[in-house]
Amino acid sequence: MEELKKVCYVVTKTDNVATAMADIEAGEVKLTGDAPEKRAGVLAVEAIPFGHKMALCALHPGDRIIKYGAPIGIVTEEIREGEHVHMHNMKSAYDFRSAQLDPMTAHAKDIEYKTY
Amino acid sequence: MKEELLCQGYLRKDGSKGIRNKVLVIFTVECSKHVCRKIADYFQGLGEDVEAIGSHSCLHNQVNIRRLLKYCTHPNVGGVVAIGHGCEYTYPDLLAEAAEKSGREAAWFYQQEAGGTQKSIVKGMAIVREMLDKLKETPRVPMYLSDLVVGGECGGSDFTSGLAGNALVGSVFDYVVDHGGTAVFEELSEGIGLKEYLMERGANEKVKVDIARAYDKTVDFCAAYGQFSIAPGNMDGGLTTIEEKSMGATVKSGSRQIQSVLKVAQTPVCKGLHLLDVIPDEKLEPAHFIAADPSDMLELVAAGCHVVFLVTGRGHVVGTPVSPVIKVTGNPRTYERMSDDIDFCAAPLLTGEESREAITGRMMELLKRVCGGEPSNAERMGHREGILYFNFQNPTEVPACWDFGKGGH
Repeated sequence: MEELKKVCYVVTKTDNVATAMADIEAGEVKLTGDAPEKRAGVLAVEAIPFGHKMALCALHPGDRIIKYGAPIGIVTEEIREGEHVHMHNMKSAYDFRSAQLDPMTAHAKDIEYKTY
Repeated sequence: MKEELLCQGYLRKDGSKGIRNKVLVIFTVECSKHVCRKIADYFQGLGEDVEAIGSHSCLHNQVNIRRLLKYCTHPNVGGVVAIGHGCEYTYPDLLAEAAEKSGREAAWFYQQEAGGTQKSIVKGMAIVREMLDKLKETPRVPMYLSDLVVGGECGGSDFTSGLAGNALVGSVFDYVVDHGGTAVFEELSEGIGLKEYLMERGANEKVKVDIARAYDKTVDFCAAYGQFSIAPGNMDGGLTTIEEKSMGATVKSGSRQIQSVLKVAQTPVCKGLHLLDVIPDEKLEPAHFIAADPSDMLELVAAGCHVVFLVTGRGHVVGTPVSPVIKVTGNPRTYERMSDDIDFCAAPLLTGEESREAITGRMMELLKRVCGGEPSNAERMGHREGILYFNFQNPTEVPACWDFGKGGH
């Protein structure tokens, strides 16, 4: 699994994100899966956690995130090529509640663990 | 189409073929659960295939009665002992009667009449002992892929689920369907954003309309609760939105046409791929959210599944009391950590170490061994979860099938 440390997996050619196959540090990343032709690599501009997504191009608020060739969410903040794409810069087009979750830990902020 | 041998099955008197030869001890209410569990525990300790399952409520519910009847007549079940408390709505005699009509060994009694806990346990044990002896005579016959009904479920998903685990189960579904078998998937609440995609896979106009209706109902249901089927663990595992999770989840249905939309406790009337709709029709009833993976797998069992695949990314442990569960993960870290529970690692699909065809072949071999009697890890660990929650659906619309009348179960 050693060589997977610098690999991101692209599900379909038309995707604008790729999935990190290991915890990836900033730097040159190899693309596998259905990567677009002549696009062997991308420069990760920050760390991408295992299983999380990296932008394959610059994305702007309102753009759609494409994975599996399908829209999986809407961009909420400017995203640079090679940046980590997660709950802090994208949201669901359907699920309004998950947009309220903590963007990093996904903890529900609308439920209190306290008694009266 | 060439028939492919699956295993030696148990032939039931109604013509169905099972992969296990179980006795179900059914409680009709929480009050008779203890007695049923004690009986099942005793025989499980002896390595016998005896399970306790039942309804917890003193009240009854039409969907729940239908489920119980499906378990009583499931192909994996050879005998039923229904034990009631004595004052609840659900009738043990009518459950036993349905089992008997389908050619199963059947018995029933009320614990109030039998004289309470101790006497009911002794009475139930004697009945089960006699049934197990009779079930030894169950004829064994060749069972083919065309006789098989498989189910697919995912739980504890992470980014690998869609890329590897569900992708593999999708290939198995295609393989089973192409060999004349039947496959059932559910989790429309994990199909959000995929209305057009799913409708396109409907075998005819009627099925397309059924899919659209079930989809719209699911979106409304989730919106009404403000709760979509995605949880913190999924996000920690790299998933972001319900749409992303949905794409990954729906991959497990493979690529074949959808023959019908089933309601809870409805079995497919033709072979091929079917979509099970578990969302209530008539009342905003939180059954689906309370249910979680084990109860959802029991819904697949009530749809007639002999065996259920459970795809996980972060790890899973559960099983059902009626049908074996085969667990698959695409996450190599999870497999290493939980290999006592997880049956199959699909990670070689992700790394490119193994072709889809080769890994599907390996999974089919495991499926045949489990159908042939080898315990899956959930069975080895003694997992038999699942609670039957009330649901409100109207099943009067028979699902349409493009080859209606051919085959069937």
